[in-house]
Amino acid sequence: MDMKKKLSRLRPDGAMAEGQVADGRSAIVGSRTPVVDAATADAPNLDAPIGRADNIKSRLLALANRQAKPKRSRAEPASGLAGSVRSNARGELHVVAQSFDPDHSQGCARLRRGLIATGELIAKLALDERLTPIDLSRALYIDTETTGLSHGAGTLPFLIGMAWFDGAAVQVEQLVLRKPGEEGPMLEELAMRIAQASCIVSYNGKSFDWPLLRTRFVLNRMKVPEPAAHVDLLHCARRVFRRRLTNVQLTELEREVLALTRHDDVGGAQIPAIYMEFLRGKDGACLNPILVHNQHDLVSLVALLGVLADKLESASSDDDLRDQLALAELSVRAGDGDRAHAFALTAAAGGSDVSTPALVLMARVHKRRGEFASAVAALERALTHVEPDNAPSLCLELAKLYERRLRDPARALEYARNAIMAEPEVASARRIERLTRRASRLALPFPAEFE
Amino acid sequence: MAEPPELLAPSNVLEFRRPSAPWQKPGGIGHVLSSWREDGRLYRHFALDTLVPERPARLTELPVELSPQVASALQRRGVKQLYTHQAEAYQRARAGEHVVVATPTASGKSLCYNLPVLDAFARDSEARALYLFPTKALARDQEVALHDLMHAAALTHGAITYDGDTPGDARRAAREKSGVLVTNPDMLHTGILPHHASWARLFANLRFIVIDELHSYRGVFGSHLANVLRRLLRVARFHGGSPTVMFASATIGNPREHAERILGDAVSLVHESGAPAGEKHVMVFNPPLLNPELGIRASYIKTAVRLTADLVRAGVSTIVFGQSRNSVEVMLKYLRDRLGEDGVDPETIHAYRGGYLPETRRRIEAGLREGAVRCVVATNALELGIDIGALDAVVCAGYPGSVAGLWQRFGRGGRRGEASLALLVTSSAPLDQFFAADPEALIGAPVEHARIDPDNIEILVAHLKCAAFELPFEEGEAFGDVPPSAIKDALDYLAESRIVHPVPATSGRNVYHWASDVYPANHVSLRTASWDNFAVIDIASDHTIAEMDWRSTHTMLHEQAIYQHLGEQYQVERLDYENHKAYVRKVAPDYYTDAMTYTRVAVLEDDVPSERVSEHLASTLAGGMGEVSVVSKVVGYKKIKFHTHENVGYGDVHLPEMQMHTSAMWLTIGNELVTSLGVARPLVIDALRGLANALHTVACVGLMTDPRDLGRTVTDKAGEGATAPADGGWLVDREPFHPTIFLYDSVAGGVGLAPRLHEDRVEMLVRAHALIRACPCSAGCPSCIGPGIGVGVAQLAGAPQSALPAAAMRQLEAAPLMGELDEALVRVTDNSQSVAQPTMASMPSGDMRKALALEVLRALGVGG
Repeated sequence: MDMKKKLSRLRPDGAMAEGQVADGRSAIVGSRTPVVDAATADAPNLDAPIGRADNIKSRLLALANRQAKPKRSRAEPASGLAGSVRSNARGELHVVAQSFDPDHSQGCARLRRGLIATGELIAKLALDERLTPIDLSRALYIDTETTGLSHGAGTLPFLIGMAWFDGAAVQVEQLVLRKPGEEGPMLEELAMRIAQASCIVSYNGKSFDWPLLRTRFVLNRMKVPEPAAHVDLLHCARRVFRRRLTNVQLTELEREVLALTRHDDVGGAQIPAIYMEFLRGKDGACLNPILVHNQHDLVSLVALLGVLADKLESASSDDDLRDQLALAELSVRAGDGDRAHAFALTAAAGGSDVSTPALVLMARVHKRRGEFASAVAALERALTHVEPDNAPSLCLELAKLYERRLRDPARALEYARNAIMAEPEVASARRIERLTRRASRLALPFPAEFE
Repeated sequence: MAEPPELLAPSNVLEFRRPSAPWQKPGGIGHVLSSWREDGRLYRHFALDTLVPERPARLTELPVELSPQVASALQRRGVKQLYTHQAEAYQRARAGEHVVVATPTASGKSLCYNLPVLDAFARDSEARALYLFPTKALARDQEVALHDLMHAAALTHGAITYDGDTPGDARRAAREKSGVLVTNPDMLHTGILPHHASWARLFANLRFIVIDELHSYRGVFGSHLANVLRRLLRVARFHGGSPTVMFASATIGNPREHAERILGDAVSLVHESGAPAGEKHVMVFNPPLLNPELGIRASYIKTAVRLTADLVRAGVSTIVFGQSRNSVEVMLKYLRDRLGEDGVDPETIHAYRGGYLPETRRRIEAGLREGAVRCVVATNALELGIDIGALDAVVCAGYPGSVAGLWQRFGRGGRRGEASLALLVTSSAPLDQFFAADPEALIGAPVEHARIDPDNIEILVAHLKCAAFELPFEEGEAFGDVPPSAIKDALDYLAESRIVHPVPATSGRNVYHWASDVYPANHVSLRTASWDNFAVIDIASDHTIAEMDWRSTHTMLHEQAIYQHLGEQYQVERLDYENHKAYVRKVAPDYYTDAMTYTRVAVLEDDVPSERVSEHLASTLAGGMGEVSVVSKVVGYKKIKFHTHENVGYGDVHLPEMQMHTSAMWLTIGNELVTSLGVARPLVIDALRGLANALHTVACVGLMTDPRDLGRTVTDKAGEGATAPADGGWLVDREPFHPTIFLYDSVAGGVGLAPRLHEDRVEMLVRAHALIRACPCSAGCPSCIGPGIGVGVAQLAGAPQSALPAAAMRQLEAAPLMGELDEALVRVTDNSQSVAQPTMASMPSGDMRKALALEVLRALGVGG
């Protein structure tokens, strides 16, 4: 049997194979998934509920028609598409370029703030010391739009958005793939920019954009560029806003941090379908919403870097105290005790859900420095308005500090008696017994044997 | 491992011997065999008692080309010579030939492929190899063996198993540096190929692909593997790798052809084993006829249990293979009951089947290796190369459906240099009786072929999508051995469905790019029943005690079913079909349940439209071939009493239908002929069902195919799109009525059985006629036209058609589910064993079935 006849057996969308071969049973009737529903308007209606024989006939007809007609020219699908054509060593590429004033406000943030970010701060935010010597003013911000969300060789980044500071201005260039197979020049341009930059900055790029781009270089038999460093702001933002936001999608950060709401933004889920329509001949203007969306992402990325660096720069009681606490925690992880202390001190002014962890953290910093009295002071302050459930563990910590560091078994015993719930019964009993013994020994005016 | 016999330590020299337990009389196979031979009443039922002589080793020097590093590693491990087939495989693989090694179980096959791989590693520090095993467990075993060998040869290439359980950092190591990647086809398909850019180093340096257990890649799974291989080689080529492929297979009839079909390229065959084998007693026991007229024999299950008990009592380690999960659990229970009376610890007897949790299986495997488990009752889940050490005896309860399968099971027994026993206990099923009548045929019989159809359109297109996702297709590109023109047609078809997007390249030819936002590999499962398992949860402990594949769930886990697990009985209280959970509670019933399945076939598309079969046969007999939809539905269950196998009740089951598209051939007997017989229609249907059974048997023998791979049913010739009411009532009510016998491929999409049967249909009718006529039974028996339908028909014989109770009709329709045929036959056999209640004998219709079947054939012009 020849291929055409066999193929005519399959359902029009080819979806039959999944449901049936896959597990030896049929897909549930009606579950066939149209691949691109918006775009089927001018295609022969293959899904019409007609008899099987008619269906085959219509498919053969469709096949014949297509062979008779000259193929629709796809040479210049870029009509209506903003931007211009540029060429590099590998050929032509389509670029949409734009420049932003550094005083451009992205919500409440000025882009200029991105410039003042130092490598030292970013290294702490990213918990990556290697970033310390990086000159952030030469960073390349990257964000891609793709034909799908899955990883793997078949997902195509068709738009590579790049932004960088040129002098004080922010340059944005978006490389648009006019048709698959023309990736070479686009990737070449990206590689060139990466080579000139001190590092790349992305949002979730470490697990999504960058692996996809690497794959594209491999598939196009090009050398994979190796950026000196990669700052993924998703991870930074998650650490800074963890006590305030559960969702750290970029749009969510815009709303909560930059006080900015996007209007008429194209939904991420629609993007692949729009690009497919473009490939099939729809006017290039249809990509405009995606271009705007991507540009918006890039500019927010620049602004966000500035905001994050700014927040970490110095403690501020004007800031959300939950963020101050998170920044204190971040500073501890980054090994910056002074900074941690400063943020914790600010956060300690907050309600008990913020102040308790802040004071505990402060105590930890003091303890590490050997400032035991200050550590005790912080914990005792925490104890004044802690939730009852959390009190025993604070008391336990205090008992230990008084016993081992401040050599005050009587105070230690007091706290140990309130710390029973924080450790196993046996341990607690042993502690109280030991402290009782020591406290009573010390309470005697003279050692017993001199009596 | 290849160990020349002279290096083996003399056995039993210093072994500490425990005093024998009371039941451990002077033991061993010799003792059991002579006791059987001395018992005349027993021994006359042995249809075969023969000895396959010992086969000495054929050895050859280590090849001079072998790298010294590897050679000395082998020598240090006591391998100073190779078996001849190992040396041949090495030479051929080294010369760059694709090789398939098809030698018996335990002949040192893994060295056949490990040797060329390690040799290449010793010469090239960058060389890589990819090993594919059908299961995770086998992959893990092989990884350990490879580590040992590499360590001995001071090779630092490393080997790592990459599957769903591999942790993240090990995954990175696997990509970056591991010399051997050990994985399974499913992982290759969904986890590696779509991400091939991350595996560029592996593919660029890929020297060898090793595919072990080739025989297991048959049917749909094999067709899928062939396509995964097409994708693998395409991706490897992109990265600059051109690997040599080495296959290893257990006994099948067509190892070379099968390997070539899977690979789409020429493959050299290495099949003359140089490994030694101890002498093997091969015996066939045919349980005695209890009712010669009905062809009813003593239960083969109970017979197998009795003979196995003799072996276990004599201290012979034994593996018993059953036909189904249910029969395995029944035999386990019987064996424990029987041997428990003799003081044998029940923990030394275990069952082993699919559905047990991995840790349960590992425990039993270890018990077998260490000797703590003396007897295991298994399904073919133990067939695959799982390491359980060697046992002294293999008992097959029922013919496994293929000569290849039988010898694969028999290969489980036999320690080097010691006598072993391989015993087949035949059931009443047609193929069993075929071999019982001519048991010599089992020795040196032609062995079944493994069949696949890599060009099955659904499978091909599914993988073409995956391939397009992995790399764009250029017009003019082939896909494995599928020619460019056919691939272009398929790609144009996918382009029309907007799954790929053609872009004219500078060459002027189209390049087809993936143009969908789905990840196609996630929508293609390589196996028929692995991906959506049901969990079996014990209500008492809230623990998952087993898993069950989707298809088996219908027959084994419907509500009220008695689910047998590790010799215990549980009742299914609730089946949460949506969430794939079955809640069971331990019970102690005196019965087990057996599901009744109803199967319906409708023609979707005829490749060969129905036409008169032959000028020499009746004009009303038409035959055709094409694509069909097979719908099966479990409609009810029977309660079968333990030990007596009486049928003690029925119940209804309400579960969704299972649907499958496959190919079939059919024979339609015209309405005129049906009317001309002048008999009530249900009786005609029953006789045709018998004829279908006979056709099925001759088809299986003729095609050398496993009976489970060929389904059959009798329905009306359903018009296009017509669906039958669920109770099957139309079979009787429909006018005019054109009963049609369907024989169909039991695997979705088919593997090409139907066209061959269609070609041979006249011959098949003639042979079926001969089979029925030659059968010594008087009224039809399991060996010729199969079981009768039972009470229903007897009552129906005189009843007006309109008054047929729905339940009876359903029963009429409840033909045995494919794959459970043997079980159905056991039931009939065992039902009639107590002579007091032979279900068929008392029925007036029973006498008519065989005569009527012959009458139908005569009216068709077959025979005379």
